[in-house]
Amino acid sequence: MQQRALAWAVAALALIGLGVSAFLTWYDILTPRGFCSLTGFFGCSEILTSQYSRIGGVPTAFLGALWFIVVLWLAIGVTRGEARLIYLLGWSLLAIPGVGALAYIELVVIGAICPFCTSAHVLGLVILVLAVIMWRNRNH
Amino acid sequence: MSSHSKSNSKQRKKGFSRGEKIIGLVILVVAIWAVYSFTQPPSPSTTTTSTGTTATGVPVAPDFTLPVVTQDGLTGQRISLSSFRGKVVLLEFMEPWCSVCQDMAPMLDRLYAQYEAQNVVFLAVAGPYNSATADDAAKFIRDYGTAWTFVYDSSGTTFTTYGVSATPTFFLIAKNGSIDTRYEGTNATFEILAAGLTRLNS
Repeated sequence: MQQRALAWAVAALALIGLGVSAFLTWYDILTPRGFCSLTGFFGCSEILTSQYSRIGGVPTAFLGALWFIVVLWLAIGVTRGEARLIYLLGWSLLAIPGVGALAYIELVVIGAICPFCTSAHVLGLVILVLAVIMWRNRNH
Repeated sequence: MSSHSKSNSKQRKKGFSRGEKIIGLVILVVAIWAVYSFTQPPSPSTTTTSTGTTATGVPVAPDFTLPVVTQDGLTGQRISLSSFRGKVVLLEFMEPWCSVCQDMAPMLDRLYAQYEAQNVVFLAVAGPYNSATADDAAKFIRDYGTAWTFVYDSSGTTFTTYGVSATPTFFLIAKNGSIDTRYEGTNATFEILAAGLTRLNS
């Protein structure tokens, strides 16, 4: 029962994270390159017009959306077997270097905070924690 | 063990049903297509042209008086735009944190090196958006070795007066103080700004 509740929690958080990342991707696509908008929200315009908003031309937020989609896909039915849980845990561990790098860039390199980016980072870390808890509870 | 329970056991080991594998494959294909799309260059019809906005019959550029910033910070001096009447002015509205402003600094440096000797004034107005301070502007000056005059608009009023909503925004101001042309961001290439300055200064 607890595993099922945790799985639903992971799925719900992944869905929220997907929504946030999708919104940031849409905002990034709409943000014209070539100048910095002063009418953006909080520090997001500063971050989304930086060179770090895209990796090889791909919006960083889109990569985050992909990560959340895979989490959602793995979370649904994760209680069915250990293999799925291993994949979920392994995929969630990617949150550590990903969030670490993006948070460093946001806070130290750019020196701005985008609440939407930060909330996606927090969601990623919470998903990782829940995945670890599920792994530890797997034989209970 | 029955064949049905064998099948269930196998699925438990693998963890994915056929339907879930198909969904996973769809996710992968969509992801690859999206990444491919993002990495393709934009079509010519969406490329912005490098044109500015020519103002005809425009009155004198709104005057302002703002504190001067150097690489050491605020100097205590104040400068008015009207003090440059009789000279061509390249007026730039910028933000120290703006990556485009940073990227364009070397180009402006080259432009300044060419036109400063021809009595053209380069004046940059640093703004307060995203909590940018005069010290941030000073750091920008140090980091990019800019030699032209910087002032700091602590309230953003001058930005508002000029209708600036993005940085960098450039105004070419004629000797009589009227706004000749306005450019935003990378639309202001070296060649375009140089051509405008040469025309106004002739």
